Amino acid sequence: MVNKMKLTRVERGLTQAQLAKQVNATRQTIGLIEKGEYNPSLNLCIAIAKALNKTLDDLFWEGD
Amino acid sequence: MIRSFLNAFLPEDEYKRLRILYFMAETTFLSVIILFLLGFLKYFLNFNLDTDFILLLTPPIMLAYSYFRYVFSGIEHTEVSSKNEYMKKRRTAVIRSLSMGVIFSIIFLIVKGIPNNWNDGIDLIAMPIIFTVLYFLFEMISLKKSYKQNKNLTDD
Repeated sequence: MVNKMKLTRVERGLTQAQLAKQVNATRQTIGLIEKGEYNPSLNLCIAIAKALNKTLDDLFWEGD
Repeated sequence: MIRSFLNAFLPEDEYKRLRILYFMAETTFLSVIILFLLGFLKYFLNFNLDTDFILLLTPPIMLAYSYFRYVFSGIEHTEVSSKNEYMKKRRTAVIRSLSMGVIFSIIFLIVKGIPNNWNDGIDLIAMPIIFTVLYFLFEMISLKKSYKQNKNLTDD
């Protein structure tokens, strides 16, 4: 789940700081989510999915 | 968002907000336990405890606990993850500490008045210096903790 978000962000050419700014979070929070050390709220998940132009399933659903 | 007057004191970022709420909850929980214990000692075991002193001491201890948890958690400087940003923030910490020291000196002088003996004079010099050093120390601890944490999280 976590790495899918990081991979997508890198594919989109966004830095953690840029993504953080778009979703009204801090770079630290984005880093923690990507490392799997913090479970974001549904609101933040949706904001991240919208910013990365993906669905929640694409980013956060476990599986292949 | 949950409606509460606390929202006015909490940051926008949800992780930081959650951590601070935990610190506040820990403080409240510990205060209740400590007050219960002191009440038990005073009213059941007849210990001679000064209630005024306890009442006066509780709020500063609660504030200090939350502040120390915040400082040591490394969540204050969320954007500091490179050496450059760290150095820049360190310079800011020095300037801020000195400014706070000056403000403290002025307030101290207003409250205590112009010293008319040797001891008051020493107080007027020593207290702002101690305040400035401690302020700077906690600023640096917070900055270092944040930097260390962020360095491990960033990949930019």
